[in-house]
Amino acid sequence: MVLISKKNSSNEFADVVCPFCGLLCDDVIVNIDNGNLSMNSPDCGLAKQRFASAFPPASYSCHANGAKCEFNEAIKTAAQLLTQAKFPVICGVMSDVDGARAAVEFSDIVGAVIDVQGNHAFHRNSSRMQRSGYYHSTITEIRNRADLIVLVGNEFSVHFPRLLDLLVPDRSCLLPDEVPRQVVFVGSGTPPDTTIENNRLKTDCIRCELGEVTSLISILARKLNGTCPQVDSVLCKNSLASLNELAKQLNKANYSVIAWSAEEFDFPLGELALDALAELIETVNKEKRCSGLPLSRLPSTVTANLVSTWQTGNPTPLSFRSGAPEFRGRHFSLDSLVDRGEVDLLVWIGGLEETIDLPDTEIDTVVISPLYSPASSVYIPVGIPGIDHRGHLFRTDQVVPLYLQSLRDSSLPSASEAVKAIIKTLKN
Amino acid sequence: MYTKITGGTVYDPINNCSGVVKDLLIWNGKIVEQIPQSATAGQIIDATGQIVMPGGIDIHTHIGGGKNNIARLMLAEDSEAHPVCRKGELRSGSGRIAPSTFVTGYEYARLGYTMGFEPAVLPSNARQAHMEMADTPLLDTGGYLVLGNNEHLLQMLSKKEDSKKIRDFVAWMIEATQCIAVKAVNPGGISAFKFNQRALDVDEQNRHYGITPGQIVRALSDALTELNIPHPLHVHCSNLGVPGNATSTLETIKATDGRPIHLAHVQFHSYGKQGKKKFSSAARMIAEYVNAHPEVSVDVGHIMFGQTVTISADIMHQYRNKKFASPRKTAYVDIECEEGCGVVPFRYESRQFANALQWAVGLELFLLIKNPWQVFLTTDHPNGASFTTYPHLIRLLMDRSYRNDMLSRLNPLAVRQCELGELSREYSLNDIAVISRAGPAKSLGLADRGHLGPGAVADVAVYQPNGNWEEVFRNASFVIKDGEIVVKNGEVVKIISGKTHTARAEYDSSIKRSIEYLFNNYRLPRFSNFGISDDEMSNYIGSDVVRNPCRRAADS
Repeated sequence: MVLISKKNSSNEFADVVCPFCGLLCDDVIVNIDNGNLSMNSPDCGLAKQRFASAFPPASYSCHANGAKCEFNEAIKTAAQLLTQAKFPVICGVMSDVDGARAAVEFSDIVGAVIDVQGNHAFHRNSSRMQRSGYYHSTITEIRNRADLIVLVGNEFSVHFPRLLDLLVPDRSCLLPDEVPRQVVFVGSGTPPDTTIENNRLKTDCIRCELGEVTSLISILARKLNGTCPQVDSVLCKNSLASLNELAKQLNKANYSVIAWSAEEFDFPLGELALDALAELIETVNKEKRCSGLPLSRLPSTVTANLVSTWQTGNPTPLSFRSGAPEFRGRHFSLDSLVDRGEVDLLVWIGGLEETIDLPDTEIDTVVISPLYSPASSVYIPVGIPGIDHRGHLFRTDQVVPLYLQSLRDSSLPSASEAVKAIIKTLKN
Repeated sequence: MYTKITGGTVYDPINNCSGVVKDLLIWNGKIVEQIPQSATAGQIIDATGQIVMPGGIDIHTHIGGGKNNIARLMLAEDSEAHPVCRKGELRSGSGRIAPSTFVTGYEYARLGYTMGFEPAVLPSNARQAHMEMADTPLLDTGGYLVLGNNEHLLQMLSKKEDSKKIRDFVAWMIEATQCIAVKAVNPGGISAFKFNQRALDVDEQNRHYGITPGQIVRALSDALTELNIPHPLHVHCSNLGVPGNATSTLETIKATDGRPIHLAHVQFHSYGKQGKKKFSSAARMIAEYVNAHPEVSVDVGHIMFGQTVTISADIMHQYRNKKFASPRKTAYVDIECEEGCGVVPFRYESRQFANALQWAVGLELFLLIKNPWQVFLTTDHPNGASFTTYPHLIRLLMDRSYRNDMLSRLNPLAVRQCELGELSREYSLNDIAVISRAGPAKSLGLADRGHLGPGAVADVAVYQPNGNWEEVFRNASFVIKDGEIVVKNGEVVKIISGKTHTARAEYDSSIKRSIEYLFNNYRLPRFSNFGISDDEMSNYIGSDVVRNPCRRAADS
């Protein structure tokens, strides 16, 4: 079976999985020149910029207590800090499956709290799911089946530039009853670009602020299930016409999909917007088929939380301080713990980050990252998953894990290897 | 180092050994006839008066893959109520209904189980299934590839493509997903549901493709027979849980036209519609058919009373069961033009007529199917109950007076309507060894598992009898995995990793061209990123691959 990285030439890799957004496109062609990466195709500004800025890892070395040191010395110092710490927090976890596995084991062993970068958005979706469940679909299913896609949000073009190219097929689809795809944007942002020809794709917009989404979608659901017809009076004429049209489209579509990025619902009672979307999906499903697609900007957030869930029964943030995993909503989030002054050591585990997003505190930090962190107490450089080493990430639909390639020779360890080295030292 | 288990009463049905007192010798991870003279150090386990069996093999248990994790994520209350602390080398975790992976491994080991097979591996989610199983210590694992609703396969059947092409497609998919067998879940029904067809009987056409579940079962069964995949097509029949579904269950079997078939969790497919409530046991009808057809095997999928969660690819029937969710929350996913997923928490109540009858149906099936090699011990974990209830189930099978005492506490109408109380059969220890060890090994084609003959992998369970079979099987006194003692007196004392068991059939590799076209034009990820290699399994997923030979039982 041909399963190695597909190389077009000595310098060019094809079918590369892009690890830089939740879509995990895997049709990327990357050129390598002395460890510098450039993306040849497809056309995605976000990926181009991230591949180009994934600099060769040669220049960084470990440091501990302000001085350069060997890897083993950095590991030993990190282990000492962990032994002394009363309330360590493992954060970031912007790595792959093995990085997340190591981070959870690490937290379990040292009795730490673990919180994952981007968790507010994941938590918004998962807490709703824990209240009443969900109805979701996946990218290939949508690509081949959906005749109506409703995108609720403003920043699809920024965070998921190729979203439409993935959700709408450019040629035929697997299922033969081909109809033009209808895409409706709900929000105030710029719709994402697409290479799809106009005769295959019809688009429409319902302009509104995201703060209004909860009421608009709730009204739409009630229109469809007929429970509250008098709500028309609270809408302006334009909104009413748009909503009536969308209601008709949802009733007519054979398979509709509603997509959102929970990160954008960062406003008071943003969770209610997710409730409204779920209610709408449930309502449509009574007579027709309809599903949701939650979008996650950071594949590492989905990945780390899925790993944490199968290994412990819970997503993060999670405390192991009692010896068993304890999940208490946002109680153990990094922000809350730092605000309460409870933390005395931060361990950042990274790989895919653009910046090391640690809180501005005087607390000791151990940073395990491809990005240089001169201010940290201990710094251990590691490779980037999908570039410097192989690994797995989960796609935004939380169903499909992709196997990442290794594109260049790197002497750097993976985050998983660095963390395991600390664990080994702690056990000795 | 060698290990000698002395004085135990051995139950090893594959080697026709039933209750014979003899010693077992273990060297280099295997059962041997003699310890080599070069072996100087060793250990002796005195098993005098104890029961010795091969390690347990669960032929149908949901221990890996997305649906399990959805259940864990959704049921935060299970995790909160049942935390498990870290202890020495044992990792922490949580959950009883949907336990975390480490807890699953430890609990299986305590019961004397050494292998478990995930029966619903979705192609695009296979990596996750294997990752979760790799994180389940002390168990060797394997997966059954779910194929009965793959839109590409249905298209091929609809176009009446050459059966060789279907056979090669099936073989490639098994290889690419590192599976050991193939399962069909509500064949054609999950696809039909995506086209908004809300029910599909076994002889009814999927409206889009114009093919029936019976045709899909026949085609897959033909393919597996030709490929010599040891385990026959593993079928979750149409009409799960529907009153009167026993008829369609028999029709599903008949669709294979005499080819071997395995019916999964047949308890959920053995219902009549007699009586005041239009819901009755059809266990006798199913059992008598199985008794007359040695090519048919079943696992029961017994239910136990209490809270559980049902997880299934059968989204059509899980959506139908939405109204029964307790607590009231459900999760559904349409997946990759392949399959689906439905998660519905459920509470079985002993005073509730339908649930009481389901309990009786499961036991009736166990007791009415005469040949223990045709029936396997399962609760369809966690759908009927957690695998941790196996000791209780074993007691129900072995102890008639206890069984009837339990029966008398159930819904009276259900008790009157079933024939369980009249069934006097009690399982012997040899029968238990067949339904939980030897039978599954034979059905899966595992030549060196499920028995204790020379050359077998040294997976051994030792139990201390005390008159209460539930207590006996609750905590094994010793469990040996790959020749190493991993459990002593019901406590895990050593952690070792399991392996992934697969089957690889030969096929015409030219099929890859059409599959590559399919992937690169319609699906994500692309063809070159889909298949799982042995290297990926070992180094990144975390489990070494064992390739089992492809030959049917009749050839061996």
